[in-house]
Order: sequence, then C-alpha cells, then structure tokens
Amino acid sequence: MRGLRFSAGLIIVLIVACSGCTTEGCNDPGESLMVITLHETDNDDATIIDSLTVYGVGMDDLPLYDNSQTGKIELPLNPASDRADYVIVNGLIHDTLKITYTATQHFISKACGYSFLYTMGSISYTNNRIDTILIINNTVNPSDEENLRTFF
Amino acid sequence: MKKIYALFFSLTSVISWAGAFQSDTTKTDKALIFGFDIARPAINAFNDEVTSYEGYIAYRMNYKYYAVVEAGYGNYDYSQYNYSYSNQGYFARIGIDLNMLKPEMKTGNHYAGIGLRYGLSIFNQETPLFTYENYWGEYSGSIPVGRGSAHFLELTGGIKAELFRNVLIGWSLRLKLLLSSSFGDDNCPVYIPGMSETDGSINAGISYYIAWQIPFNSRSK
Repeated sequence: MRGLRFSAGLIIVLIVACSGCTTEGCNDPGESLMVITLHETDNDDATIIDSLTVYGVGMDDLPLYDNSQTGKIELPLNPASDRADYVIVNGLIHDTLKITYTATQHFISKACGYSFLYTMGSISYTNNRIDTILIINNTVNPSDEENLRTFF
Repeated sequence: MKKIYALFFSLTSVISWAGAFQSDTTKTDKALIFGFDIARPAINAFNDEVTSYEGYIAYRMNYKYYAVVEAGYGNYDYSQYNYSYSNQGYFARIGIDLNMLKPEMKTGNHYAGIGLRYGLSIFNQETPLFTYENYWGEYSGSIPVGRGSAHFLELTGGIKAELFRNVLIGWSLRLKLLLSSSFGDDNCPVYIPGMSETDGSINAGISYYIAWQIPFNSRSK
C-alpha cells in the first residue's frame, strides 16, 4: 500500500505543479526600447532635464516626450526599417539623433505573439545642445538596460 | 458524441480504479503490450486547434518494470489577432514504468505506478502572418516553414486495470519538461508534437489508454 500512496501522492503533486503552467492574456508585450540616460558634460553625473521633448522625424504631432521633466528617455525603434531618426528638444534647442540597427523578430508567448529585438549599428547626431552620445550597449531588448549615454 | 466520450471515460475510470486496487495474488508473466491513447480523438473533437494521435508498445519485464516506447503524430493550427501559427510533426518517447503494485496486492495484470520518458519530436512550423504595432505604425511579417526538433522529459503517474482478460484500460498524468528546441529563443515553438503547447518550459498532459496484452510463457516474480 505504500507504493499506492506514493503513486497517489505523485499524481496530486503533478496536478498542483501544473496548475499554473500556462499563461492567459498578454500581460507583458515585451517591447524593446532604446534606453538613453542623460548626463552633464562637465562632471559625468546623471542629470534631470526640466523640459525635454522627443519625437520621431516627421512625427512632431505625436511626441514621445512632451516638455517632460526626466533623466532617462526610452525610444521605440521601427522594425520596418533599419534606421530611426528622432528630434530631441532640450529647452528650445533642437538636435537630431539618427540610429541604424538590425531588427530580429522574437517570439514572446502564445498570448502575446511576436515582438522585435534590435542590434544597434551606428549613431549620428547634431551638436546644437548635445555634446556627446556614447554607445554603452548595442543590444536593444525588453530589459531596462542603458543603451546610450547622452551628455548635454 | 462528446457526452458519449465523457460517460465512457467516467465509467472506465471507476472500473480501472476498482480493478487496480483489488487484493489477491496473481502470476506476473513477461508480456508485450500494445496501447492506443483514446483520449486523443476526444481532445481532437473538443479542440479545433489540435489533431493528434498516440500509441505505445511496452515490454513487461517482470511485475515491477516495463520498458516503454510511445509514438504519435500532432498537427496544430492557431490564430489570434496578431499572428497565425501552424505546426505538424511526429514524436517518439522512450522510457520505463515502475509498477508500485506488488503481485500479492492485485488480481489480474493491473498497474499503478510512475514512469520516466525521454521524448524527441521532429516537426515543421510556420508563422504565415504576424503583426506588430508600435509608435512607428504597424508592421506585418511572416516566418517561413522551418523543420526542427525538440527534446523533452516526462514524469508520468497513472493506473491501468485489466478490464477483460488481456485487455487493459487506464490513464496517466504527465509532467513535461522541455529540454531544448532547435528553433532557439527567437522562434520558440508554440506547440511541439508530443509535448503539446509550450508556454513556459513545463506543462502537463493526460493520456487515456486502452491496451492489449500478449503474455509470454516464462514467469518471474
């Protein structure tokens, strides 16, 4: 009978262990965002900008950040292209940031479907208000890791 | 049809429980056992996404140990608002069952125990369409047909009872652990034949078998 009790116990364990195996609904769509931190040129310290506006080139009616007070910006890349251009307005001074990358589709889950991961190639930017932008990590994924460090 | 299946499974479950736990002594011949998973046609009838079939051959070495080979076919079609997906392929599992019922505890060739399986699945999968929407607009793409394989482990627990002479019926619950897939992380299979849907690397399944047993003359205890 000890074997029987063991078998019955195993079956119960299997049922309990598997009650949470599948996910229903897409709770985390897992968008990969380019994470850019903002720093001061003089002392390398992270800074918070009082009024920052960011939008895609040609999409100024749809700002990603609109006169926002922030120390970090997160930019969506365009999977239909190998390049995304943004306008960054610090105060009233405009700069343009151009990023090239390769996009790879990525399966998230049955509920969510597919998203994209990106590998950054190169960046170029104007120096009206921006002093320097450093590439810290060229892999853009759903994590919150810093990709670019911008010095104003 | 669905009600007939439900009634059939209920009745045979009761019979197999009762049969497996009777107390008496019996012979334990070596035997070859051929089984078919009769839950598959029922699941196929209930579930529009899956069509699968499965059978097994077991060799009963003595009252305790069974060598088991299982094989089957799976076809899966799934569609939701942002993608469609299809998968078709075959699988095989090899492993061992351990009967917890000692010969003196049962009448007939019953089984109640646990088992371990290694599974290999070979399949084609395709994503004919997926869409993705973000700030820049909507993107639509596809992933062409790709052939690949997956390896998995299963822990099983269940019972089988001798319903008639040399005819067994019973069920097993299966805890399935995906070891690896040749498609990698970026194109993980939504479904793997033999392992079912794969949200997460662990999932569960159930098999409901009817089996025919061919006993050999040699006896062992």
